[in-house]
This record gives sequence, structure tokens and C-alpha cells, in this order.
Amino acid sequence: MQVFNAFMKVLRKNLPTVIIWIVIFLSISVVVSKSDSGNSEFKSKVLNVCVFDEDNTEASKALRDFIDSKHNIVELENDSARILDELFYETTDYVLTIKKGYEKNLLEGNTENLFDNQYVHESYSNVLMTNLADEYVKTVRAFLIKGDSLSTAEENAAETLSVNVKVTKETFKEEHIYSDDYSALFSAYFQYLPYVFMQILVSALCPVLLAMNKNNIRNRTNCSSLRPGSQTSQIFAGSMIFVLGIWLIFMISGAILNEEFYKGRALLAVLNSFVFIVICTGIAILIASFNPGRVGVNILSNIISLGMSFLCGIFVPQEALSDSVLNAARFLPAYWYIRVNNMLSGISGEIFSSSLCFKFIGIEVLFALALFAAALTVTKIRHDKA
Amino acid sequence: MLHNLKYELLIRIKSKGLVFWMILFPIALGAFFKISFGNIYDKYTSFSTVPAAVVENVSNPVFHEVIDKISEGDEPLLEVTYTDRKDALELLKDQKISGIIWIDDEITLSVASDSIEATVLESFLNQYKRQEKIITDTAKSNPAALENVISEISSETQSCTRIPLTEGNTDNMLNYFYNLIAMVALFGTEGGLEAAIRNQGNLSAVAARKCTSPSKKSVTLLTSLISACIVQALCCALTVTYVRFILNVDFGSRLPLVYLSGLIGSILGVSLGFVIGSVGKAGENAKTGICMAISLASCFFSGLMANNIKPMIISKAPWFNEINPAALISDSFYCLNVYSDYDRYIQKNITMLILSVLLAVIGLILTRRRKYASL
Repeated sequence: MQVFNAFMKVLRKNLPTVIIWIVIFLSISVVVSKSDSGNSEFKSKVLNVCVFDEDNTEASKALRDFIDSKHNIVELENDSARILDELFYETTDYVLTIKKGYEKNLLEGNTENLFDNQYVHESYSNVLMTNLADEYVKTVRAFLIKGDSLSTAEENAAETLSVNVKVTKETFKEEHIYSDDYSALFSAYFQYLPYVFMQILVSALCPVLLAMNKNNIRNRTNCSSLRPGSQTSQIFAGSMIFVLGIWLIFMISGAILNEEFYKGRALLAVLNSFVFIVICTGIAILIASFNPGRVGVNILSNIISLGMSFLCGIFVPQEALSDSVLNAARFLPAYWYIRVNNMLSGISGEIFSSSLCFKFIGIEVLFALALFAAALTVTKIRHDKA
Repeated sequence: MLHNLKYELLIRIKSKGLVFWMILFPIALGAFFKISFGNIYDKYTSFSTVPAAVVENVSNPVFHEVIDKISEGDEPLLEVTYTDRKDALELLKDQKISGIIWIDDEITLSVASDSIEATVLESFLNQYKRQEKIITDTAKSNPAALENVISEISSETQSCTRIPLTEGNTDNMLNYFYNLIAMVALFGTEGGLEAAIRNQGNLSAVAARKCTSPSKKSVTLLTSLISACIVQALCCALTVTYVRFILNVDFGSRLPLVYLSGLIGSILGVSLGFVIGSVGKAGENAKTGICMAISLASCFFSGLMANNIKPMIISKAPWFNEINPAALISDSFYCLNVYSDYDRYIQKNITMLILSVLLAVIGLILTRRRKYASL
């Protein structure tokens, strides 16, 4: 067990990095899990609207109350720099200024240019709010023409503008898009796991393998009475204990965060994550077989983990990536992991199909086999050369 | 002094870490940002015609005409496909459309999510239903006014006048690129740290040797700091050039000032690293860890990892945004892009310069006149 003990001793030195990654990931997951979950009923988008009332009349106050009933009114100081910041970062969607003379113009039927609006993005939000302002003005005017007084017209307009069409949210239950066993929130936890697995395994396992493969250590062990097979199996056992330990920590934490044990579709997510951590082990062993040194490991761990995360849909939904990027990403294992995860939770337009799911996991297994085969080949070539 | 500067520069340029962290890493990260965020603004923020399916179970010529009318023009509100129930549901499931408008005795809508496109569809149908109600109610209660009411609600009212706020690039995904450059500038902490460590006899063997040399400590320290600033500013300029000309990210029309802010940001990064290196007796590895942690945390609060962090800081703790180095650097780029005047840009850069001087002075106070009984 000498080699195994030495492996664990070197691994212990790298544990702080592992602990930092686990703590950061779990802390972020706790924050995310506290956020609101999805709903099966349709809810229209509520915008953050700032209203400046320069008219300050009953009519302008009625309009402000009407906007308040539909959207979220935010208070801002009337400073153009602050307004621009708010609009640029989308913490406020729209700024409406009710101009002086609004009530008078409304009564006289001058409905053009009653308001100033400010927005930064040519977005749906400003189309919605501009239409709402126009609709309100036209409705109040219609009631005034009908013979109502201004206050009655405003009341009737507000009442009429609360009439809505019936909206149904299609859940496509016959296709099982949504599963109670694997919520969108739970899938977010599994979505980011590949990044953390890659970072942890490459930055913690690689240095240990590098240390064990150092020429003088390797030569010393080779000339000992220990059989080469035993040496390899002890390193393998050490690696497996570490990899399984990391995987179990994340699986147990996931169950705790989700407040229930895995069942149904969530079990497939667990299998998917297991196959992926095996892939990451393959990546770590392959990198170590090239003997890149500590700086090299650092470089490769960042490039590989960030590259796969951005290209394969870990950080950005796959639906937001262009077709050419997705076509290139097919040659990376994380792409298939995310496809399975999307399918299990029904996000990014994926429909669940168990046969496709196993097919994609099978592709991941092939990636793992290819990585291990490549690592063994490189190690053999380097060993023969030495 | 020039001799020292030359060798300080050579030492830095030949460092493998520099080539990766200051040049290759930002290039790779910038490419990843471009690939991933290139479509997001157009896809999720910018307005484009909303695709919808219409299933006509009963004939409603008035509504049909209204739909056709708003589906016309260069940038219509809707792009409509008339189809049957099965195909419409298929289209919705495949996310080819944002909703299905069902024309029965009553008009209803089916959507797949609470998206803003679904809200636009709902808003359009609500408007139609409300106008229908107004006409029906008026016909019952005051038929004489019906013609005028119809004329009013079907008129093209433009009650809003847009007040333009900026002529700059309004894609808020730019913030990621601003922060990428801020990150490179703040990696200057490494350079500042090295300057401190390579001149403190109790922290490194090189410093111990330097302390016994006839060179003045002020000269060796100053050349270390200057070389760190030069190398950092070059890396920053390289990143700006790459982001602007290779990735085609639009920084607005005042590009030379973007380079200037990159330079000032680099000086700030080096000063910050110099102070960290000068405080305490912790070893190089521990201090490198502190430098990385501080610069990445600074970038995190400025929005490098998540775009919505910065607005949250602006609203909850605006004072922090005014002293956070990464936020100061990225804000200076933002000010150049969106504001036509230079007030806030100058304010951000002066704050950076004051902080740089303050940190450098603290570092100098901590390192000056140190004597070692034994090295």
C-alpha cells in the first residue's frame, strides 16, 4: 500500500483547492435554490416602470395608478445619468413622463405627444408600454366621447382595460415535458456540475498524477520489489476513491438542496453526472500523461473547463448558441451531457425520450473510453521513449 | 536605472505565467464570450416580430382583417401562420411560434411559457377584446356616439415622444467585455506583488541578493514598478485591440480613451498588488492567492461572472461601486460608450489615479527603510 499511501499524501496537499470549489459551488446553489420556481399558469410580464408626473392632476394620478395596477412602479431621482444606468442594466424597463397639460389636452382631444418616454433597448418592453399608454388614452377618450365625465371615464377605462382574454399555458403533458421528479431548479444544479467536476479533477487529480509520474519517483518505484501492475492498481484505487468521493459529495448535497432523495427522472440525471465525472477523470489522466507541469495544468484546466462550459451550453442555454457553435460542440462530451439534462427537465426545447437519453449517455461513455484509450497510448509512447 | 528597467522588463516578458494569464487567457475568454453572448441580446432583448399560429374554428372576418393588418409592413407586430389544431400545437411544442390564437365563439390564446413574446400576444388580443367591449357597450347605451367612439379607438394615436438618452451601443452584454479588460488590468496585481517581493529581503532569495547589491533600493523598486506598469499596460492594450478589432466589439467612437483607461487601470492593478506584497510576512504563494482572490472578487462584483451583479451593487451599495477597482475600470469604458460628455469618465479615471497614488504611497511607506539583521 506504499504507492496508495503516497498518492493520498500528495492528494491531501491539493485538498484546499477542492474544498474551495465545493464551498463556492454549494453556496451559489443554495442562493439559486431559494429563488422562485416555475408555475403552470400563465403570468404576463410585469415591467419595472418609472413614472414622472409633471402634470400632477387627478387625470395624471389616475394614469399612474392604472400603470401601478399593471406593472411595477419604481421610484428614481430625475437624473439622466441615473436613468440611463437603470435602463442600460435593465433594472428599469421604461421611463414615462406625464407632461404638463396632460389633463387639459386629454379633455380637449389632443392625444398626440402627451408623454415623454425614455428607453435604451429596442425591446418588447417599450412596445408593450407605449401601446399601453396609447390604449389608455384612446379608451379614456372613447368614454369621454360617449358622454362620461373625466373621473367616470377614467374609472370606466381602468375597468375596461382590466378585461383580459383567456390564456392557457400548454404543458404538453402527453409528451412529459415537465417532471415533478426533476424540476427546472434541480436541473440548474446538475447543469453546472460539469464545470465544477472539470475544475476539481483537473486541478486536484492532475498534480497528484504528475507527482507520481515524476521520473525519479517512477524509476525508484520501478526498481523496487513492487510489481508494475500493483503500482498501477494502487494509483487507480486512489484515483477512484477520490473521484467517487467528489461525486458522492455533490450527489448528497444535491439531494439535501432538493429536500428529497432522487427518484424517477432524477436518477437518470445522477447516472448522467456519474458518466461525466468518469469523462473528467479521463481528461485529467490524459492531461497528466503529457506531463505539462503545474503551470500547464493550471492553463489547461481553465481553458478546457471554461471552453466546454461556454461552447456546450453550461453557462449559456444551448438554445441561445448559434448552429455553427452547436455543430462544433457535438465533438465535446459536455454537449451530450447538457442535451440529456435539457431533455430531463424539458428546457431549451428538448422533449424527453428515454431511448434518446440513453443514446446520449452512451455517446458520453464512448467519449470516456476514447479518453482513457488516448491516455494509455500517450503514457505507453512516452514510457517507451524514456 | 535604464539598465535595471531593461532587465526587469526582460524578466517579466519571459515569464510563462504572463503569456498565459495576461495574453492567452483573455483571448480565449473573450472568444468564449463572443461565441456565447453574441446572439443573446438580439434573441432575448431586441424586439422582433412575434411568430404566432391562428386556428380558425369559426369564421371571424373582422378579427381576420385586423390580424392581416398588423402582420403587414417592414417590421410587423405579428407573423401569422393559419393552420389547424394539430399543426399549431406541434409548432408551439417545437418553439417555432410563441403562441396559438384560437378563434372560437370567444378568442383565446395558448402559450408555452411566460415569455415577453407571449405577453405581447396577450396584450394584442386584450386590446382587441377591450375595443370590442367598448363598441358593444356604446351601441347599447349611447348609439348616437358610436361612430365617433369607433373613430377614436381605431385612430392611430401616438401619445408618446421618445427622448433619446444615448447614441452609444446599448447591448448590455458589452459589460462582459468591459470586465474582461478590467480583469486583465487587475492581473497587474501580480506584477505589483512581484515588485514588492523581489525587493524585500526577507521574502525572496532574489530580494536578499538585491539588498546586498550597491544599487539604490529606491531605484530597483521604482524600476520594478515601472516595468510592471509597462508590461501590464501592453497586455491591456493587446486585449482592447483584440476585443475591438478581432471580436468586433463596438466600444464607441472614442477608442484612444479606452486605451487610456486601460493604462490607468493597469497602474491601479500594479499599485494594489504592491500594497498586498508589502503588507505582512506571508510567503509569495499566499500573497499570490490573495491577489487573485481580490482581483477576481473585484471583477465578480463588477459583473464579470454575472451581468446582473453590477446593477444590484449600484442600487444596494453605490459607494462600493465607486471604489471597486474593476467597477471603476469597466465603468470608464461604459461612460465612454453611453455618455456624450466626459464628466463621469473623467471622474472615474481621477478616482482610479487617486487610488493608485494612495496605494503606491502606502506600499512605499511599508517597504522603505527596512533593515535586516541577517539574510
